[in-house]
Amino acid sequence: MSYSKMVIPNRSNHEWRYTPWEKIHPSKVETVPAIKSARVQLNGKQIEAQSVRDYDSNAEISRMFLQETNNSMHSITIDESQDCNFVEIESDESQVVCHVHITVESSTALQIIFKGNCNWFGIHITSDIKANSNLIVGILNDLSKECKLLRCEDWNIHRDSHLTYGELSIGGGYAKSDIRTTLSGSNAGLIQSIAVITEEKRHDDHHIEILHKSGHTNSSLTVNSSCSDRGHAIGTGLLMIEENCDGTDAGQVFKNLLLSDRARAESLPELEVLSDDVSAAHGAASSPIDENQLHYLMARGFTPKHAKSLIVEGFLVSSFSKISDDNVRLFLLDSLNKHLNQNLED
Amino acid sequence: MSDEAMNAVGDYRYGFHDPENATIRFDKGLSEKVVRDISKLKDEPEWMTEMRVKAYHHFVSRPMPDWGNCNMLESIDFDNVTYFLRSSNRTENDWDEVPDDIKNTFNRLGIPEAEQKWLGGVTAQYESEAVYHSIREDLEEQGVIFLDMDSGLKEHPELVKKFFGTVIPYADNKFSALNTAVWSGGSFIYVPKGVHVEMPVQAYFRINAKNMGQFERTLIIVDEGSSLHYVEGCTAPTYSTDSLHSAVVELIAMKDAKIRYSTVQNWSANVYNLVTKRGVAHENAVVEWVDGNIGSKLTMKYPAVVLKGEGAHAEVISVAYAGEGQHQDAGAKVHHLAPNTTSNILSKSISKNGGRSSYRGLLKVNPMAHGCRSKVVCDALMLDEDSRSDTYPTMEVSNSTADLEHEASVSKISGNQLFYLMSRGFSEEEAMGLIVNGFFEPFTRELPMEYAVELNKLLELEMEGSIG
Repeated sequence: MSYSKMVIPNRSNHEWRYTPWEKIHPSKVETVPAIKSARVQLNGKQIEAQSVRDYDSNAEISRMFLQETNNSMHSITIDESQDCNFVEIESDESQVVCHVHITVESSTALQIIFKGNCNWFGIHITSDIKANSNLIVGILNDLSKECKLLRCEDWNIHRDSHLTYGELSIGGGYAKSDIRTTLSGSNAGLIQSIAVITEEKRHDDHHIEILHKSGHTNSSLTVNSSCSDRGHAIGTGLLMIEENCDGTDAGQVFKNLLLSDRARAESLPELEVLSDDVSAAHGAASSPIDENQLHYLMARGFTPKHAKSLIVEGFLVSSFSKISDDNVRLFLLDSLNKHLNQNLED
Repeated sequence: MSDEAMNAVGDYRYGFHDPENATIRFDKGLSEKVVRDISKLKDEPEWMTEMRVKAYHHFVSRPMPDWGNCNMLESIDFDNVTYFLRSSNRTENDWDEVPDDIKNTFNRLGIPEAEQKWLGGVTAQYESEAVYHSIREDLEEQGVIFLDMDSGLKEHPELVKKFFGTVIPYADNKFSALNTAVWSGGSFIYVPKGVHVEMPVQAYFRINAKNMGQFERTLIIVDEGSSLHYVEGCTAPTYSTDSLHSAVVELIAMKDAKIRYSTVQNWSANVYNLVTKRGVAHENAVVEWVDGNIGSKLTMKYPAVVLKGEGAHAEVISVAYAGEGQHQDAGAKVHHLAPNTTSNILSKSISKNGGRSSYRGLLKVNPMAHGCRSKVVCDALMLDEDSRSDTYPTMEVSNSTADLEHEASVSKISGNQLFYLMSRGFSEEEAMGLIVNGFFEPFTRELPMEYAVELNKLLELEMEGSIG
């Protein structure tokens, strides 16, 4: 199967209900343009695209499209030699695509940032977290407002390994992220915390799949979205527990804070459970800003704008409380503060 | 019943069937001619015939849903279904006038007895049309109209024309189009302003023939400040070939009105149950769906409420039991269109012996729905490792003052609860039965007593042999 033979998904597929494929495609939907690769730096050193990735003929449409636009790959292996590794993926080209494969064989931390002034940014991150490893990763999407982002991630966590994943999504005016994690070995664990800000006309669609393929695995997903102006936040989650996965403990929570009359939020936390001795739960909540909190802060001298900003900060900061690595947590918190302060100055 | 028939029926108590004594039976298969013939046979007005024909063409051109259990949906053979079968030439209002074989069936189902004890009115539908119908005189005197749908169209054509298809248009989905094309039977109820119908009214739907399609159409209008409790039950014989049940139910609750619609669906495991149910609640009105799904091969049913008037409220309580070979794809949908509207959805499901239960829900808040509140709770129990449970909720919020919550959990029966009961002398099977009844209790307590007792018995029956 190649992209040209694939059926364009329609809205009945919940993954594409709010962000049609036609809108996230960089040109005409039937074409596959050849697109240059972005610059990738690891700890300040440029990494060249070394290898040609294996063609996956069973990939879903966005992964298939990304691999056909550019099939080179940046391979990164991270170890304990640094306290925290820093990967920067950047470009100012009109359209850019990038594939990064991360291999983790020890306990380490990693910060990833996407930035640049391109019009369309396609990124595919794949990762193998080998047995007995531990990765704490913080991802910052800080692309320009004009940029469209198509992002796919595939994380594979092997036995006795753990991934702590934090993300702050503030960049790219129209962003579609498809993040899939497989817990393939027993005792694998995942903590995933995502904070989203949609303001002005920003559209942010996160599709998050977590697949438990082995027993005694655990996962926890939290997505906190703050929506203001005409922002539109979408969170679709699919938590799957396969057969013979007894002892699995999984949960996902989507929370939306709606700050304006024209802001919108959609949450679809889905569960598919095929094992009986498991604990699986999900929750979703949408609510306005708490007037009592606002009143409390304003009574202490904050302007309404500042008080709102503080409440939003508190709401989003709580997403990152489970990130145990100080470097990664501070990286996300500083970026969040900087963004909110910038908005206050504007 | 012969031993052979008994074996085929198994645990399903209502799996018996009577010899078919049809007075009119259409050939299997669907065409525009069949649609026009049904309409002609019923001597319907022109507008209804035209609506049926339009719906038929929509049904033919519309693809099958590409979500839900696509494999089961694709296996429905629409050409092998009988779309109309008349068992009795008239709708009687005295059980003694109903043909003996049909009367015996309803006696075995306990309908006449229930009618005498606690019902305000009864419609009994056998195959395509109602065979018995009655309403208490005092309700009739207060202006309550309770008829089978065919009689409703004949006797109150203007009222039917005004409301028919306004809540669920034929183009709503493939199966609402099918129902609109070939509908027959169902209930038509109008409760005038300020009338509270204290005793529930009931409709009972029975499929008896093989490869039968039942397409009843129900329209309930409760006028300002009135209330109604409508109860629906359904069973079918167990055959090796499949039957199709595709109903459409439209509820309209005017200002300050209240409608409660209770169903315990107990079709045999060879019935496809593809039903569209939706209610509209005007200002300060309440629409409640109490929905139990125990039987059928595949159920796809998502009772919906459109909260159209300020202060309207929706309540959906649903339970599903999915046993061997069953897929209960059920849920609820609520559209908050007006300010200060509220809704509660409680869904409980049990999967056993490889059964699959899915909750599929939608909670939608429109930009004008200021200050609306909603809570959705879904709990699933899985009784063995071969079963499956899914949850597919959707929340779409376009108003910043809305306050919505959704929570769901999937688990097995707690070992502690089992141990506690067994240490007090219950067998493991009895203990599981008690826990399951307790799990469904928020649903059964909302049912009329007789239905609740019946449901508990059914669940006990389903739980038999669940150990080992």
